[in-house]
Amino acid sequence: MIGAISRSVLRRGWRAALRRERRRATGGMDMDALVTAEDLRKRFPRKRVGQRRWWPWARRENGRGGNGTGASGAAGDEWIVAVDGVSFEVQRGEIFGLLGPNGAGKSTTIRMLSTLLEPSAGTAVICGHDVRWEPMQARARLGVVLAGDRSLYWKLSGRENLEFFATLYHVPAHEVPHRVNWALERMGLADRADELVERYSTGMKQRLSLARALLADPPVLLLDEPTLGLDPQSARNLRELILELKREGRAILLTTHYMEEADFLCDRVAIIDHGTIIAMDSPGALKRRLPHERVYRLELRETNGALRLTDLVPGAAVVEERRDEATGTLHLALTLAEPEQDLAALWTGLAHSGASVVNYSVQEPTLEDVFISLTGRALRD
Amino acid sequence: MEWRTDLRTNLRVVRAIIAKDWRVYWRYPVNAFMSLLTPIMWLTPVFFLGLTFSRDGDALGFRASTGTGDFVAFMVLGGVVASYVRTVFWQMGFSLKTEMEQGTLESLWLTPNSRLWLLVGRSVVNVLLTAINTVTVMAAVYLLFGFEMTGNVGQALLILLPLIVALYGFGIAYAGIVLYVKDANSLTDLTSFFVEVVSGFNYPVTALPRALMVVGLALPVTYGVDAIRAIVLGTRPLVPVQVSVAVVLVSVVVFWVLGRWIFNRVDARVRAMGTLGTH
Ligand SMILES: Nc1ncnc2c1ncn2[C@@H]1O[C@H](COP(=O)(O)OP(=O)(O)OP(=O)(O)O)[C@@H](O)[C@H]1O
Ligand SMILES: [Mg+2]
Repeated sequence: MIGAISRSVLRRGWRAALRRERRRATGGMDMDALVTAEDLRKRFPRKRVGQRRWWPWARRENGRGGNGTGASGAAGDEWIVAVDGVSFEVQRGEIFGLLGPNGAGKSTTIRMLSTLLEPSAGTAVICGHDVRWEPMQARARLGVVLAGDRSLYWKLSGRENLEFFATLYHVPAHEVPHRVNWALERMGLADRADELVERYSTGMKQRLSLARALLADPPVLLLDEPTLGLDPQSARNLRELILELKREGRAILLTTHYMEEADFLCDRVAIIDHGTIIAMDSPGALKRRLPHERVYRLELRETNGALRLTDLVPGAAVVEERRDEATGTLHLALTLAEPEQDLAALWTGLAHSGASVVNYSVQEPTLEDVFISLTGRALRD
Repeated sequence: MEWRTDLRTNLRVVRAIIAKDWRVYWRYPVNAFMSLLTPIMWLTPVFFLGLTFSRDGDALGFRASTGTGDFVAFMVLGGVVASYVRTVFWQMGFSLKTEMEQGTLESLWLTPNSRLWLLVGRSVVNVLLTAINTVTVMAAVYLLFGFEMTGNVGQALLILLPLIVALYGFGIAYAGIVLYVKDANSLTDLTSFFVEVVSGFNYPVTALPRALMVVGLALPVTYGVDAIRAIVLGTRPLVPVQVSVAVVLVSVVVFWVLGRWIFNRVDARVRAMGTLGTH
């Protein structure tokens, strides 16, 4: 015990060691938090084209000086900071989403939690098992679906894949056929189970990956972009399945850059950008934080010159103003401070101005708006 | 849920990997067929060349320098060990890289198993497939060209088996290195070719220039092949057979300890650098 404490003190500082000991003493700090990340960090050495890393002297030459471009963060030119101190918990029966643009550090976080990558600093604990000190214990409690569809053996059938992985997840031999059938059934793959995976569609491969993740009946699921590349119908089906898995009391961590998906699925969302969490709450609460709630979109055909909407409606703020050359109409997006009276003022004002309304819609706020209001950038581009 | 990784579980895992690799192997029938055909294609011109150097089926010059005139048997025995060397480099080292590029390696690494056991499983199926391959090739060569093995084949197997075990210890280290190196293809090509040149699989090491011979004598496979030939064909051994056996046995221990150590080091490095999967 003393040995273990002092060793980790040396490696990670006394505070983390104490926390770990305390958690161990209480048998897990929070019994319902199945995933805990504390100040997780990951940085990668910046590789340069032509750098031959397996010769020590080559690294020394190329490691210094650098080309001075792309320096990011305090670590400077030598490192790419992928995850820069994220902390969160995922509770039993909760879907927790990491939402962020490309390169935000979502996959890197998942890889650290699933023991594929060693954190540069910080702690990650799965069901009371630190991924760094007890990786096998942690893996035994995890079902992981990584991004991409190449994680299965294409030259084996769906069933053969599952049978193989069931054994690797230590499902008792006599239970394997039963469990494999159960997983196939559950993911709607039973009728195609004996075909080679190379003949599966993307959606089927994705469901087979999820079936594999369920084989050991794990309490925690980590899903990296589970609906990426699926058609809308398959994506919808997969989301329903994920909700079902949550209702069984599993803790689910998923990453996505579809805000509608995060909105629909997640109980809580962490918006992540440049490796840091910039907001974390339920989707509803995140949207309520926005200065306005709804966006009113109008498409107008003007009869006389410039229309000054903000004069007509005092509480209106124009978020977007765009003239459509093809149709000759004006597209306006507004937010209203006092929707009820402002709307009335808007309609009377428009009537007096002689402009005709071609199109009108009210848009509920999305997590995208939350992201824009936090970063000033769009989530996807 | 309590987690155990006892020997029985590990052996089950090994068995599952064997069954899986076995299936996947036969689902590429062209590859399987080519691995049988290649050694025969390669031996054919050498056979006819050897014939022109022989009188009444006896290669006299060859006999003078090795102690046997049956150069086909000499090469077949070298070929058995050579095929294991090749398979350790190409299958063990390289198939892991292939799985890494395909993305299935991460799936394996995500299972709650020690990576070493996963590699052991892979080694076993490799040994089996290479054995089948080798025996088939030997049979084909026997039918086509004919050769004789007069000595104690059982005893030779007692040397071959630990030699193979040692080779796979090296294979595990090599598998780790290949994961890390970018262009593993040329590295593998060069090294395995070099080992084949200096270890005297197709000719006695004594035929090599001095510098290369010294390198050859530093490799345990050289002693293994030499002892196997001495036992089966009655060739003159480089060193007494007992010494060769000792070299092979020591190398089993050394290669496995070192192989494991190197693999773990590289594996830790890969996890820190994140080279796995992202390419
Ligand atoms: N193995 C690696 N070596 C070097 N840099 C890496 C490595 N893996 C990730 N990165 C970098 O770390 C950053 C975060 O990457 P990550 O894959 O975690 O992003 P992400 O949020 O999953 O993005 P996406 O939506 O594109 O999947 C990126 O800048 C990426 O280039
Ligand atoms: Mg990603």
